[in-house]
This record gives sequence, C-alpha cells and structure tokens, in this order.
Amino acid sequence: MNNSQWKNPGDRRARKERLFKGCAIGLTTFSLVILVVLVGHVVVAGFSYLSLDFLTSFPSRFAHKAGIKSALAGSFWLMGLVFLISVPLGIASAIYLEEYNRKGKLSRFIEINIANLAGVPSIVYGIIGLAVFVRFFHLQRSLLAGALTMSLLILPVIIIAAREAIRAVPKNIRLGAYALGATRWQTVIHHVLPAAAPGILTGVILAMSRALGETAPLIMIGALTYVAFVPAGPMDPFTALPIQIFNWASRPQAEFHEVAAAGIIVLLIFLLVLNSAAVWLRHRASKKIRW
Amino acid sequence: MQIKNPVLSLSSVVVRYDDFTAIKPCSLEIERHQVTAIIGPSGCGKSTLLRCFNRMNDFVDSFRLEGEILFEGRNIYDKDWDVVDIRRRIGMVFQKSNPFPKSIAQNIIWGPKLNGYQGSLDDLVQSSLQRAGLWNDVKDRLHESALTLSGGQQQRLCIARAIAMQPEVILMDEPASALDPRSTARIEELIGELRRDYSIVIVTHNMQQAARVSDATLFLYEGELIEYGATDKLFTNPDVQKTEDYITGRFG
Repeated sequence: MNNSQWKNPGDRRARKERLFKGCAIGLTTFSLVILVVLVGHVVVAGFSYLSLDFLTSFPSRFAHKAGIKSALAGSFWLMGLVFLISVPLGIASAIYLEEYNRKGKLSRFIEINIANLAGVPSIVYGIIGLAVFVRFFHLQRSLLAGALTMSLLILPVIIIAAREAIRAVPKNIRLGAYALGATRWQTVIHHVLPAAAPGILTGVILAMSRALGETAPLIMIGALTYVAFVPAGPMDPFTALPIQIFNWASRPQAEFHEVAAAGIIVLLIFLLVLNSAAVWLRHRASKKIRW
Repeated sequence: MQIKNPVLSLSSVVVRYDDFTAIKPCSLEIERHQVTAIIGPSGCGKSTLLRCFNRMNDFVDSFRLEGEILFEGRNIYDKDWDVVDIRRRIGMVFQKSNPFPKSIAQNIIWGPKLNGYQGSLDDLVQSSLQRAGLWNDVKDRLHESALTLSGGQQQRLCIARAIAMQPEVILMDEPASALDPRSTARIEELIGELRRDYSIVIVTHNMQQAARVSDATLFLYEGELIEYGATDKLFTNPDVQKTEDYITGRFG
C-alpha cells in the first residue's frame, strides 16, 4: 500500500462521531426532561386530591367534593362499546384485504385510503359523528353515538396493525394448509389468526388507548361535561375522563386545576397499564413463536 | 418410453405470468405408481409445472393456463371441480418443511379431520408416521410441538401429513434441498418405498438425486420440454444434445 495516497481520516471521523453521539444524547435527555417536568407538575398538583372518594364521587361545584365516578363509568362504557364495534370490523377487514382480495388497483386504492384515514385529525371524525350518528341516525348525545364515532377513528389503526400481523405469518404455513385440502376460511381460522393473534391484540390495545385519551371528537358530538349519574345503557348521555379533565382545567378556580391534575393521573395510569400490556404481549409472542 | 397407465395427462399446456411465458406448449403423460422427476436449471419452470397439478398457482394473480391437465380423465382446471377435492387427492410436500406450530399428532390429523375422515385418528397417526419412517423417532412424544423436531424429521412429518390424506399423487418440490446428506438419503429411501402405492412427481435440481430415485425424467429448459424418457436412458444416452450438456454439467 502506498501511504502517500491515503490520508488518515481518523481524527475528523472520530470528532464527527463524538459530536453526533452528543447531539443524540442531548436531544433524548431534552425530551425526557420535558416529560418528567410535565408529569411531575401534574403529580404534585393533583396528588392531594387522589383518594378513593375521588374515584367514587360525582362531579361537584366544590373542588374538594368533586370526583370522577361518572367520567370513569362513561369511559368504561365507551371502551367496551368501541371494542365490540371496532375489533370485529377491523379484523374482518384486515382478513379480507390480506387473504381474499386480489392485489390489484382497487386494493392499492383502499390501502392508501386506510393509511390516510389513520392520519386524519380526530376533530374531523367528530364532525362526521355529529352529522351522521347524532343528527342523521338520531342517536343524540348517547354513548352509542360516541362509541361509533370513536370506532371510526381507530378502525384504520386496527386494520393496519392487523394486516401487518397477518402478513407476518409465513406463506409456507398457508400453502401447507391449502395443500391438505383446506379452504381459505379454514386456513385463516386454524392457522393464520392464531399465529397473528398477539400482533393483532397489540394493535387493538394501542388503538383502544388512543380512544381512551381522545377528547376532540367527543366534545364535537356534544358529550356532556357535567353528569351526576352513571349511564345505564348505550342510549344514555355520558361524559368521559378526558372531557371531565378538559372541563375542570378550563375553569377559572385554581382548585379545579388541581382536581384536573388528579384526573390526569388516573387517565395516565390507565394508559400506562394498557401500553404495558401491549409491550408484554409483543414480548411474549416474539419468544413463543419461532418458525 | 411407453406410458401404459397415465395418472396425469397434459395436452398443449401453456402457462403465462402476465406477458412472460413460463411453460411453452407442452403435452405429456405421467405414469401411475412411478416416480417422475422434473429437472432443469433454476427458473426453467419446474416448480410452476409441478404446482399446476394441484392448482397451487391459483394464488398467483397473474397466472394464466391454457390447454388441459387431465387427472382421472377429468380436467383439473374444470370450473366445476372443487379445488379442495383436487388437493385432497393430489398431495404436496414443499422445499422448506412447513409443519404447523402444533403437536406432531395434530399435524397429521388436521387435514383428514377437515375433509371428513371417519376412521380412527390414532390409527391414522400411527400408520402415516410408520410409512414416513418417523414412528420410532416420535412415538413417545406425539403431543410435543412439531417444531421441536430436526429439519429432516420435520420434512418426513410433512410427508406423513401428505400420506395421511390418502392421496393418489404426491408432488414434491425439492423436498431434500434444505437437508443434510443423511436426511436426504432417508428421504430418497422413503420415496423409493412410497412409489408402490403413490404416483410421485418430484422436482429436483440435484441430478444425482433424479437419477437415483426416479423411473422417468423430464428435462425442462426455459419453459420448454426438451426431453422426457426413462431415467436410465436419459442419463446414459440422451437423445438431445442440450440434455447431455445439462446432465454433464456443461451449463446450468
């Protein structure tokens, strides 16, 4: 090797490397610090209001008496209905698109549209919900109207996640099943779905946690902000956690801001539990299934 | 070569993927209860031709077939003939072993159960595994996952799974190409035993393997049937120069 033709790039390379590493660490720390400050602020503000009474009381004009019983019940109802509506629809759509539909122009068109729908601002879904479910179908400000609107919002997310999970099942397994005289349906129900289940479930949980935290569409369709009863059925009016929090936070009295903070803590705990469940499922699936 | 009792007869079969012609006009018959090998260089259409026999190409959207393939006197591509019935009677073993992520016994009985098998499932598991030469290896762990088996055992399980359907024809797509020499030898031995009861069509890129296991050999080149005849004759004294060039390793 002729040394004169090779300039040692070592110093500059090493400096660039250090610079980049420093930037990456700095930016990561910056976002973490912001998160810690925000959460810390909320916890400090709201911690004193957290108690069993807070969970089991209805909202009140007096900050120290206010609770989230109706909001909690509304959110549970909403989640249950959204689950029942969006999961079967989402999984069925994903199965159709992946296993039955021929991959042509129409399929591409649908695919692009679903991806786009996942990026549409949630307020737009609220407007659709208001026009279609609340007004056109006369569902009024009911849980059902809210759940249908929320389902529209998270359907693209579920469909995309389920399609990816279904696509990750090796083609070999399908061919093996077909070669034994199985129909498409038998192949899907016996082999594809069980293998894709952890991935689908992860997507469903993440979609549900999105629905749990969404506020704008519910405000748009006119969910109530002061509810002193627990909904008894899907046609009852309702409120939900994020709406209750939004309502408290927009009041002028400082005490209510602290009540809002307590509500945020409860909501954060639920989201954390849901997201941990998703992570755990994914981890378990990656260990269990080896082709 | 004289075909006495054909199980599959192809007449003017042409296969196209969009504009690409994968199989050029091809008419031939495949003898019953024999091993027929399909050889040729990569991309010559071996697997495409094999997959025509149980309509596995139906899953390829651009696939088009002209001509007809008769099985038991009836066209496999007849619209009234349920593809599920064809696949039950014409089984298949793939290049990469693909046991289901279920127990060994479940792998065997899944297909027969779907297709309304009425006999004893336990007997079926035992007889299929015995025929595939796997019974002694696995009889004490029938309920363990099939994925715990070695590669060669998995492939024999896939053959047992195909046998359990009691097919008339078994198609094998390079069944030993991913296996070590010992497992390959066992699979070849197994093919030799199975030819008494089944008609076997095997695709292989290993010419020694074709020479060892098959009765008749079919040489494809760029989608064209170059030569088809008794294996002994084709490998020792081929009629066509191109066949000789290929089997002596001058190209491919």
